[in-house]
Amino acid sequence: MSTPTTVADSMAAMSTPRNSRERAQDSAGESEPANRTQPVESALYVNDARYERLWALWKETRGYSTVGNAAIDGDVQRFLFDEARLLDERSYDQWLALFAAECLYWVPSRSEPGDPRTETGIYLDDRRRMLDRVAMIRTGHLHAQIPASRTRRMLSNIEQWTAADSSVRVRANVVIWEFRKGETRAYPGWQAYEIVRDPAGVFALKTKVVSLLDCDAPQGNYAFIL
Amino acid sequence: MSTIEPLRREPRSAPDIGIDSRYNSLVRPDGMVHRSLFTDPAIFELEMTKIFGGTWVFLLHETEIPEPNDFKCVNVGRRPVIVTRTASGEIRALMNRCTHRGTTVCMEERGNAKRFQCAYHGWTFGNTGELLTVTFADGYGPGFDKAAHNLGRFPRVESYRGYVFGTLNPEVEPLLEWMGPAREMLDWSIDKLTTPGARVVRSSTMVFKANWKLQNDNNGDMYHVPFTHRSVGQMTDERHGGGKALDHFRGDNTPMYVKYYGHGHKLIDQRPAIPSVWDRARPVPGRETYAAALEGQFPPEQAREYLDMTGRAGINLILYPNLIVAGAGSFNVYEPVAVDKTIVHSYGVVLDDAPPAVNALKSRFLEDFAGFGYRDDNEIFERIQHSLTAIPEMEWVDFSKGLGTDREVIGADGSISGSVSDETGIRGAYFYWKELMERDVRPRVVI
Repeated sequence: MSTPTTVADSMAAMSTPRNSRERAQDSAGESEPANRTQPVESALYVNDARYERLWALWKETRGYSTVGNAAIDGDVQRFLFDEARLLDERSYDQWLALFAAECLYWVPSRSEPGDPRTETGIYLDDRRRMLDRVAMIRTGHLHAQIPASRTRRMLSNIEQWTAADSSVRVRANVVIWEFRKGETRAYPGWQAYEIVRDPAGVFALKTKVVSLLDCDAPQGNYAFIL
Repeated sequence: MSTIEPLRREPRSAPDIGIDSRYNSLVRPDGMVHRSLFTDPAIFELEMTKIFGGTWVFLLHETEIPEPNDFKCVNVGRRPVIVTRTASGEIRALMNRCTHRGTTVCMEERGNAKRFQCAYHGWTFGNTGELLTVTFADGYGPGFDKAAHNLGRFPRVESYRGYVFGTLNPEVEPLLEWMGPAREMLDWSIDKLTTPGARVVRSSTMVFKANWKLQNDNNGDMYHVPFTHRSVGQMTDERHGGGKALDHFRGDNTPMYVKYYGHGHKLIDQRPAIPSVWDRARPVPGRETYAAALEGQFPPEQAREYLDMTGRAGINLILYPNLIVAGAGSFNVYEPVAVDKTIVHSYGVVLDDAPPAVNALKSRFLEDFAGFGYRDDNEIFERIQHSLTAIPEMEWVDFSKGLGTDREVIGADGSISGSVSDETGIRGAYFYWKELMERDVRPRVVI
């Protein structure tokens, strides 16, 4: 074997072993036929109006009192648990199919975030960047996920109400448990959801916000999808 | 322009300063560095004195405390420090330690305050550091000197175009001499933002379980990019086609280069391979919408100038020990916590006088490499820290790439350039580390 002389040669010479266990885990659950169609990837919906709606959702969800409102709807709860389980199982195709085409996924970096147009988050993803995040894991070369994290999300204190535009709003407390490289860690926080129905009445997640308790403190090196 | 000390390629005789001469043997002229620099708590402790107490250290950007009486708390090494802007506008760095019994006097991360009152016995200090009030003062005898109880103050604090540095070593060289020819790159980064009103804002903070120097090395290391960042490189190629993000580096056949400036400062210059930051950038949320807004509002050249201000590629300039300026309008600050623990604070800018579309894009770009690149870097640092700590039989780490080749060129300003994948700058920083550790430094505060 000749000695590689350039970085490009070295890269070409590298085998591309996708850890077989990794691959098996990443596709776990995805052999089942997905019962939802994947929305088309769009990037044209991120504009001032969408940002303002996102920030307003955060404020409403943080401050809303559900006292006197309807109890949690079993269908909504099942939808939330599905979303959490698919992420824990790393069934990314099915997970992505739960989201509306024009979705946002926000993990703020402050406990009282400001306008996301002038603040940097831990994540602020549109559908395109959510797909980037999944694609990066699936290269098999995301070193910070070799070995992959095992996660379990615990949802509690789920509160639900219906907004004026008839979308369903949910606020829930969350603890994400992660095990990786011999250590178990907890990521506590709360989550906001904006759930819309398509014409057939099927739920789609238009917005999800993950507000970590320690979001403005130094963040550890987690690389699973929060 | 002052000249810088040359890279020493021959072993020096041990300097005549006693016990610290052992550092001479830990950083070898052949580019080998001893593992104890990364694993020995005693060396870490001495670094807090000799490096973070012995040379200029970046404190903050002036726009983080724009108004009179604004303050921000930072750590210099591990020392808690309140950086204040006094009523007259002067910037001071004060030890966050009551001169009575040692309590931290300010617990807010930032704010606006004329005075700080200690929570323990109520002593009150002005934001100049002056002790204003001692409670129940009758109990102190004639020997008590109130003026000797001001908050400890950094003997020197200086600002260069908004970047504020401080030192506990009154004998250190002037700031501009310390910066040396590296100043040209800081100027480039500042001048690249062509609108006034750039305001520095926090973007993210992370912590990893490894020595601070591994991050400092890595910011001057282009060699690792195709390997460590293979996940993001491959994803970008697959999803967004060639010509984006990291594919401008595939080997040394490139006009990009690294440089060592002296005083530990180093550079990766990627600009020759990145004619347009915007064209090479991975798509961020809002890319199409906000680009269209700018292109609809401004002539093509001006729209392009704005778009090129949104990304953060171009240069990595590392001012030793704790500042890395990445492109235009973003920088990271390293905070050593323990020999095996480091916090990195990342900052961006909001351009108050630029069209809002620029900030909407810039905010998303600051999430890009923080989310898609830093994870793999930190994973590598933690793997290195584990191996170096756990395997004492293997003592040396190799930083020799480029040494003994004809690839290193000394410039007119004394700086040394190398091929972009060479460890020229990293090696230079270790020679400077040795020099600082061998110095007889006694950091002190002014009362």
